[in-house]
Amino acid sequence: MVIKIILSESDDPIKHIEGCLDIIHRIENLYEKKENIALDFSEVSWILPCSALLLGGKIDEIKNQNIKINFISPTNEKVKKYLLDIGFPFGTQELGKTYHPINHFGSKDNVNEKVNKLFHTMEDKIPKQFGVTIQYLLAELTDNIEQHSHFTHSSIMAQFFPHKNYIDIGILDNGLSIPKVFEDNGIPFSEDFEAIEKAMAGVTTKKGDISRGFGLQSTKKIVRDLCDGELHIISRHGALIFEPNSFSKKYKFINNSLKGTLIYIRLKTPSKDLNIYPYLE
Amino acid sequence: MIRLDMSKHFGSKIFTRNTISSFFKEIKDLKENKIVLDFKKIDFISRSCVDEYLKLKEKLKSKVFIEENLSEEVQSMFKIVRHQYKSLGLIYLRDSLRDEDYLTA
Repeated sequence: MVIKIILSESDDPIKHIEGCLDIIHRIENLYEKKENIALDFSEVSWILPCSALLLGGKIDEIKNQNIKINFISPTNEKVKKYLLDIGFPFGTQELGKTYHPINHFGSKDNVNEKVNKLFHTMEDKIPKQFGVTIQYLLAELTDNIEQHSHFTHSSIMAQFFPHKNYIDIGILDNGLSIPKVFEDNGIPFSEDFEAIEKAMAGVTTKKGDISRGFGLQSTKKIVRDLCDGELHIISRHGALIFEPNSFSKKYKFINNSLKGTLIYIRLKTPSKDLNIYPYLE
Repeated sequence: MIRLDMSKHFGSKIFTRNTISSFFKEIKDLKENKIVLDFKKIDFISRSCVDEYLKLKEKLKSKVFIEENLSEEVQSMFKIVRHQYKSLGLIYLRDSLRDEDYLTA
């Protein structure tokens, strides 16, 4: 069965993510029926790292499961080269000049080692003004996956856009999702984006451990307030978006949902050296 | 006494709580009681990892820990966590730098 990949031509991550959730839903349906899958990228003319990560994560997760997955390449040469460069969909060890390619890992992998490796390969590509900002964000987000999500598959990638002056970082897991973890722990909410809001405000399932719950709160402060950046959190049916100088935006994906959580960050290249520590107090 | 090069266990950056937990499981079984932890090649530790480290150190009362060669970056993260503990009313008695740090926080 052929799935035609149609993605937004805009730069808006939510539009891309919504399109990807629909494609993933169709992939999952075919996978459940044990049907072979052909993914037709021929008409894709623009793809964001978050889309590559979402689709790559799902495809890698279901590979080697007795179904064939074939790809029809994009006719757009730039997209074709980009997907090849970032190692879409199964990841690659080859490093690009401005990006860290897709890297997948499972719950049995040493996550600390994986993230160390990722950071070392990125270190010389990231403008020095960021200081330890990127390390801090990677640490808190990957630690959240390990501590809370009960994931079996996770994907990570990063790309610096020197001409546009920003860096994108995406971290995806196929775990329980924030709303499901809250449901399982009796934390009340009505919409999935409310569960994400609560997590961002420091509500934690590690009850009785009062020094927990800082990770997502501080991530938000650093991304939005220190870096003038954007933070997108997508979990099950909900999405919460933080942008500089505005209130958070909430979305509800009505027709589809993400099995797990995607955190997607866009940071502007700072004009001066960043100091994260006042944002952690 | 035993001296441990932290970078051999963690690499140059300490990112996740789980890796701190597995480190403590290993040192729990060491026969030596006095453990010098050399942070010389560690250039980053996350806030969560400092939190985990201080909690597990507090629990492992049978060992004496001495931290050495902390970089400015690593010291800053320890200071931040201690500052947060202070505002939460948490005191870890086995945190050797606690008093000095609390006075200057």
